[in-house]
Amino acid sequence: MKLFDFISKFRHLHPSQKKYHVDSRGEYAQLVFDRRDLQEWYRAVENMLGPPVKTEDQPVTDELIRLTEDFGEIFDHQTLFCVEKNDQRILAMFWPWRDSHLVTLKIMVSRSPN
Amino acid sequence: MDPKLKTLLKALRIRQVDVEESTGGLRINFIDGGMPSTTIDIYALRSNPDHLRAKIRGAEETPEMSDADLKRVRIKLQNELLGIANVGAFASLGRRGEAHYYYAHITMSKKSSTDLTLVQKGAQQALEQLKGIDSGSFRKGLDQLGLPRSSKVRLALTRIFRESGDIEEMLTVVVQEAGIVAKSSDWRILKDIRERNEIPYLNIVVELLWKAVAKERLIKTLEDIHN
Repeated sequence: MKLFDFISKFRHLHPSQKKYHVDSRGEYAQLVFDRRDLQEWYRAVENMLGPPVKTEDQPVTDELIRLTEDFGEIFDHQTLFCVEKNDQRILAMFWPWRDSHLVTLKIMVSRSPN
Repeated sequence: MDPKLKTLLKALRIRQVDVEESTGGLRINFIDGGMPSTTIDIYALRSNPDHLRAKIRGAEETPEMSDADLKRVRIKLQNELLGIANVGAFASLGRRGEAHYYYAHITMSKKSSTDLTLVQKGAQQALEQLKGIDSGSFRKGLDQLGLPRSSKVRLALTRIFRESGDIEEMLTVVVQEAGIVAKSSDWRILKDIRERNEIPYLNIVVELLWKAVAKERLIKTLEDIHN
């Protein structure tokens, strides 16, 4: 799957900010949207990647920190989706902003290390 | 290692900061009477390579770091990276268990590598200049500049002359002595002898010390503004 395929599923949700980056190991995107639309975004990501591997109620494990270190790691209030298939690892992490109505969705599509 | 991290590591070592390489980045330890001891991790993000990220893990026994403490850490880090990189304000990154984490963006100054090279080039030239002078001529030069025995500028130049075996040693001594001269009124004397430029065989080392003192003075001014 290409990042473009992933992002195109969210077009109808109209993120307010978009940022992309590509390097030799993968493709990355950061999308910012309004917190009121959070459930809709969750549903869209879950449809593609299945249930989250960490919700905001679950503790962060060392393995999750390692998995997300290229993203800037993961913290208690964040939600993470992760799928490995067809030699690819796809990560999606929701990061609600503190004292703000905004949420960042970070997406990374890279070669699976396994 | 990311080239940006390499530049920071080099600059921080020259400036005698307690810094070490860590997995994926750098770790800085700040121990300062005026603020809580703080460990800062600096690393690059694959997903956003335009800048670096500085991360602080707050102590578990304290609820959250105050805005004032985060500001103090930022000013100290900014001072250590002056001319090399710009440090943004620290903001909450989130919690893991009982510990709070904070982050700031570090953006490299466009001319940082050039500045670092220039500093090293200056030190190399000063070192070559000093190696060409015997101690008698050196003392005579200081006398001709009108520097009394008790002058902090004279003591600084003498220590640089005696203890500079290589570039690293020279820069270390220059930074230490600049800190002393900058805190006293003798910095004006240094400024004066640099402008007069009367002893050609001391001009490069005087210039090097002056640059370091000027940086210290700038840091003090920034701290005064922030406080």
